[in-house]
Parts: sequence; structure tokens; C-alpha cells
Amino acid sequence: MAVVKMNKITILGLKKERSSLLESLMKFGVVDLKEEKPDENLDGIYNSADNNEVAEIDAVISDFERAISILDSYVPKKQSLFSARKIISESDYLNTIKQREDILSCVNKINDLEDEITKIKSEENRLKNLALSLDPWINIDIPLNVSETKYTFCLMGTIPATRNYQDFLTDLSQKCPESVVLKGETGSEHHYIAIIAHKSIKEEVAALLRNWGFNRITFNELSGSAREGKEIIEDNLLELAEKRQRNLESIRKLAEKREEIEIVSDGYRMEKARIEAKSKLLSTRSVFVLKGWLPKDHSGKVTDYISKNYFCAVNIEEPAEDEEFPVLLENGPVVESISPVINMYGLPSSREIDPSAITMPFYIFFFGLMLGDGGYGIIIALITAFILKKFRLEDSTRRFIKLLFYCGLATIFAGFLYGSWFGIASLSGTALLISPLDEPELMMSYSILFGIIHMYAGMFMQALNLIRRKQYLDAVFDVLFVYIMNTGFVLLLLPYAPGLSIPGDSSIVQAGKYVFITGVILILLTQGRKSKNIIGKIFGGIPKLYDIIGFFGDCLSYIRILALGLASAIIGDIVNTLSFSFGGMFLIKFIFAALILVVGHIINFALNALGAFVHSCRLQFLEFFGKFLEGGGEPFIPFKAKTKYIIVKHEISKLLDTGAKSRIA
Amino acid sequence: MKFIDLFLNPQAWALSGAVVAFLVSALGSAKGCGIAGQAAAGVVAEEPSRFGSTMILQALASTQAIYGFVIAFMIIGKISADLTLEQGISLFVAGLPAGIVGYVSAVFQGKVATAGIHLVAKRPEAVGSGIIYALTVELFAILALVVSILMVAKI
Repeated sequence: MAVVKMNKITILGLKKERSSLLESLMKFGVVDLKEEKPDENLDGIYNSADNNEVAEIDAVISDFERAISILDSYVPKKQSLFSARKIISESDYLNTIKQREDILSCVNKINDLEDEITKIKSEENRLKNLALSLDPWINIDIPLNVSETKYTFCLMGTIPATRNYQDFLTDLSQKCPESVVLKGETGSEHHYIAIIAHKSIKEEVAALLRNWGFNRITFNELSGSAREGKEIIEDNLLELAEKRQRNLESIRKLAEKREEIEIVSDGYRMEKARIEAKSKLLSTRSVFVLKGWLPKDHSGKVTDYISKNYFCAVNIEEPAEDEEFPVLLENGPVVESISPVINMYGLPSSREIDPSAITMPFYIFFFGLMLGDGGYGIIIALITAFILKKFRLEDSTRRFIKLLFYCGLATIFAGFLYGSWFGIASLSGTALLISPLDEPELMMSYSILFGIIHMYAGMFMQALNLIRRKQYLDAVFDVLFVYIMNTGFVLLLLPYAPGLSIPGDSSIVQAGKYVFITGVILILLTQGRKSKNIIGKIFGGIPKLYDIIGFFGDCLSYIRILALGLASAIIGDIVNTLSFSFGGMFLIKFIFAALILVVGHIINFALNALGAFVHSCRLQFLEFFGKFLEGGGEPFIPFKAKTKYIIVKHEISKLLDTGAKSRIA
Repeated sequence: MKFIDLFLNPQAWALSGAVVAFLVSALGSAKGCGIAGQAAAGVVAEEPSRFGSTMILQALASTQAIYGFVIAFMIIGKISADLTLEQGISLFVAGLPAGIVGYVSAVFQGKVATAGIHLVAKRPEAVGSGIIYALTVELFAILALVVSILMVAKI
């Protein structure tokens, strides 16, 4: 229900205790460290940033990440739809961290094994290609790497398949009779041949071969014939495959250590956070100073612990009257679910009232009206309730799912109001309030009415903020008088409200006229008060009257409640009508009807739920927050371990356990 | 039947209204979603984690076609054998706002959503602002839908 009050903490301590003190603060996880810049005029005071250290740790962390992703690819872990970090106790954590060296060597081994596997794979590819290149020579039974004997020489190579092989043979036997040709395969492009000839006619053979477009091929790394070479390669391949399999086995075996690897990698992450935090502090050669913010109700316990365990001076002070502090919102289990919406807009400033509690009911109510179908509401509520019950979720995910759950409940409520259930037209008679399909005009007036209530609530919040700042007169002039003017304006326009048919001369409209004039006069009298000169004081109120146009525009903006509600209702109705419009056999009819019902309603549901979600956001951000929220609060980001796989339940953080209220950080 | 008789045929008028309401607005939505989708795919190529937010931004411009569809369906529901010529022409006119305003609104919403997608590429936390900018354009399509609904309901 509130913005948490913060205190400023300053710690002056010995440098030799710095790391350990930072570790304690990290375990508490409630101090937002302020970055301090050293004064350039003072010598010997500096930020002790150590970029090398961070880079080293980053390298280790990326080694761990690589190892984990290797494990993921060979030994896939069962992933649930919503993964949350595992919670482990501090003693378990410390026990694992003790084996840090072992784990590190495990990680290196996994990475090495993977490197080796990559190498083996490329070697395998090379050998396979080599084996393929031997295929055309398989019939030639001479050693491939022997290019000459005592009296003869041997050439291996190709001539283009476009040349006639028989002609080649005739040509050769005529011109160089002292030669033998061994024929390999004829591929689509080449004849593969080996020519053995006497050394004395080397020149002639070469000239003839040139004529025939001969292309020489040599095999240096193989001995023996092509057939033998292929056998050797196959042996090698087998061996490599075996080796690869062995490496895979070792990686699989190392996968047992996965949990430890994850824990230790988070250990390194914590160390990194600690080193980065160090760079925010100012140090001299022997002392350091730390400044930050922490929640007021924790300051006592943190101070006690720090001053008891460390040799240092701790100072706690409250922020000055006009000093902004980091914003942390604290809300009950129901209201906290609105935080995704608030965070999307940005936090309120530290001196404002937390808007969560008032935004929450409006948000889900508008969502419900815009989705507008109780049946869809039941589906949302059931699915989200199941997820909440079944899975352990990270806080931010859990809040979002919870928000959807409440939106589902609100949609069920809207289903009762509209009498709208899965777009079934015959149920519209059960509407408790109005059936928008039958009376769209009246529904338009209702939409605007809900909008006016919403905006009046926003203006009320503005009044509360002003009162909080003790600007009582402003609350009267800027809010109460605007209330009067706007109310008069609304009453005055009642005859034009669609679907209501209120005559222009009815007493309520007449009363509205007087209320409106009173409001306008009051505004004209008071809005110029901040102006310095007399002219400004007299005419300063006139621009404020234009706000009424803005108010009118905002009212119209709420018509989207009607439009989106109608759209989902009509499309639901269309789906139902279509699905029962098929003739033919009962079975075919049934199948078509079921198919169209399911697919149609899923599409309608998805599109309109998305629409309701974003448009409800918009109504909050523009029409509602615009009335009162200044915003611009810096989020409270406590110094704690930014881990990826685990959350360590530190013993000392239990000192801080307060009630059930959750804090949104 | 001569061609000129078509202009005196109330059913033809009413059907044209339904055609304009859906056809024109759906063209706009197709264009709007199309340009936003191209930008979204480009962003996700670099940052796969932005799929969720860019998908929402891309889908925003699809609502105009839905509004057009709703109006077209309402108009078709009004068509009957005893429709008078005035009613037919009125139904035609009633289809115009949802169709034409829907087209322009969808195209520009697509462009704003594209800009929003680029915004999300650089600052993922700003997805809220990107959506709001795009929704401002949608208001006009919504008003056009309401005007069309009210007109059809009156006939």
C-alpha cells in the first residue's frame, strides 16, 4: 500500500574488512549502493575499480556457460514451462563451493572434450571426402602413390568424359605403343585412367595426354591400391567414431555434476557483483566509505549486525524533507499483482502515494468489461490458477500470472453483468446490468460513466497527494472546484447521452447548468492565483477552462470499453452461428461444428484478451495516471547476488524476515 | 435486369456497405501488420528474447479489420427481402466510417508500431510507451466503429 520509507546509510570502515563487509551486505540484499565519484582535488581518494578482475571472472563465467550449454545439447535437461531458480540453503551452497577447484576442472574437461569432438568431426568429414574421391579408382589395382618403377612411370588422372575413350585408346596405341592404360570408372564428367608407360617415351605420352585434356591427380598420403586405401580410411573412421563416442560418454558422465556446476557458476556471479560493488565505493589506502539507501525498518538490524561484526562507523539518517530516495513499493498479496502494469509505466516519485491499490480494481474491471465474456473469464481463471498452484515461479512471473487470474475473475463478473457466456446469444437475457449487443447506445453511456468514476478517482488521488504535501488550498482549488465544474458539465450534457433519453428541460439538467456556472466562476476566481501580476491573476483562469475539452475527450476515450466488449461478443456470436450452419450427415456436422467452435473461440479469445490487456493499460496510463501521477521515481535496486540458477537462503538474511507483505524490487 | 437497376436495388447497396466496411479496413490492417511484422522479424533476428513484446506491437494493427468484420456482419444481418431503398443506402453509408477510417488508422498504427518495435530493440523496458503511442492511433478506428454500430442499429 505504500512507498517504502528509506534511510540513508553511511559506513566508514577498514579496507581489509571491505570484501567481507560487502559480502554481508550482499547477503542481506537490502542496501541500494550509491555510486560515489572521487573529488579530483583530493589526492589519495579513489574508486577502487579493478577491470582486470571483472574481465577474468567474466571469462570464467563464460567457460561455465559454455559447459552448461554443451551439457544441454548432449544431455537435455527436462525443462518445465516456467523455470524458476532453485532455492538452496547456505550450508549446501558452502559445501558445494568448497569443491570449486574440482568443479572448475570438470568444466574445463567438458569444454576440452567438446573441442576434441569438434576436431574429430572435421577429421571424419575429411576422411569421408577422401574415401569418396577414391571410388572411381577402385578397379585399378596398382599402388596409388607409386609414380615410377625402374623402367616405367605411372600417371593417374582424368580426361574429360566428352572425349571418346575408344578413340583415346586407339590414338595412344598408335603413337605410344609401349604403354598400358588401366581404366577406372567413367563419371559424368571424367574418364578416370592410369597410364603406365616406358620411361623412354615420357615426352610423347605427355604430349598426347595434353592433347586429350589429361588432368593429373596425385595421392600422397595413401599407400597401396585404392581398395586398400579405402579399407584403411574405413578403419580410421571407425576408430574416430569410437573415440567420439568415448568423449560423449565422458561428457554424459560429467553431466551428473551439472547441479554443482550451476551452483559454482552462480558463486562466480556473486563474486563479480561484489567486485563491481567495490568500484562504487571511495577508498583511501586503508579505509573506505560506503553510502547507500536501505528500507527504514531494516536499518536497525543491519546497523546492529555490521557494527557488532566489523570495526567500523555506521551512520543512519533520514532523507531531508525534499530529498528524493529510491522507490520500493510494498503491497499485500492481492495488490502486488498490479506491479507489472505499474512498472511498465514507471514508478511513482518517492514523495507520492503508491497508486497500486487504487489502480488494481480499475485495471481488472476494465479488462473484464473489454473482454466481456464470462466463459473466457472462466478459462483464464482456471488456467492461471492451475499454473499458480502447480509451478514454483519467479516473483515477477508469479505476479503477472496472478494479475491474469484476477483479470479472469473480473471477466467472469463482466459475464454476469452482460449475460455473455461464450457468445451464446440466448443467454443475453440473464444480464444483470445490460446486454451490450441489444442496447449498444446505453452501453456507451455506461462506458463513459465508468470512465468518469475512474477519472474522478484519479483527481481524488491528486487531492490526497496535495494534502500530503500540506497544500490544502491547492487541493480545494485544483481538485474540488474542477469536480464541481466537470460534474456540472456532465449533467448539462445528459440529454445528449445515447440511450438514456433525458429531456433537456428536466430538473437534473437545469441543476447541472447552475453547478457548471458555479464551477466555472470558482475556477476563474482561483486559477490565476499563482500569477505574479494583476492581469495574470484576473485572466489566469481562462486557460484552465480549456481543460473541460480535455475532460470531454477523455470521456470519449472510454467508449473503447463498449467497442472492444462488442467486438468480442459479436465475433463469439458469429462463431456460434457459423458452426451450426452446416448441413449433411450428423457426424460431419458434429465434426465441423466442433472444429469451428474451438478454433473460432480460441482466435477470438486470444485477439480480444490481448486487446483488453493493452487497452486497459492505456486507460490507466493516460486517462488515470495523467490526473495525478508525477512519476519519475528511481527504482530501488538492492545490492544482492544476480544469480541465474540458484537463490541462496543466507542465514543472516533471516534476521530481516518481516510479515507477509511483499516488496517489489 | 439492366445495369442501372442495380442502383435501385437496396440489397446491392447494403452489400456494398458490408464490402466497404470489411474490405477497406482489412486492407489497412494487412498493410499495418505487414510493415510492423517486417520490422519485428528484423529485431528478433538480433535479439530472440524480444519476440513477445514485438509480437504484441505487430498485432495491434489487426483490430481495425476486426472492427470492419463486425460492421460487415451487422450489415449482412440487416439484409432481407423487404429492405427499402433508403434503408439499403443507409446501410451502405453506415459501413463507410469503419472501413475508411479503419484503413487509415491501421496503416498509421502499423507505422507507429514499427517505430515502437525499433524502440524496443534499443530499450526493451520501453515496450509500454511503444504500445501507448500505437494505441493513440487506434482511438479513431474505435470511434468510427462506434459511429458505424450506432448507425446500423438505427436502421
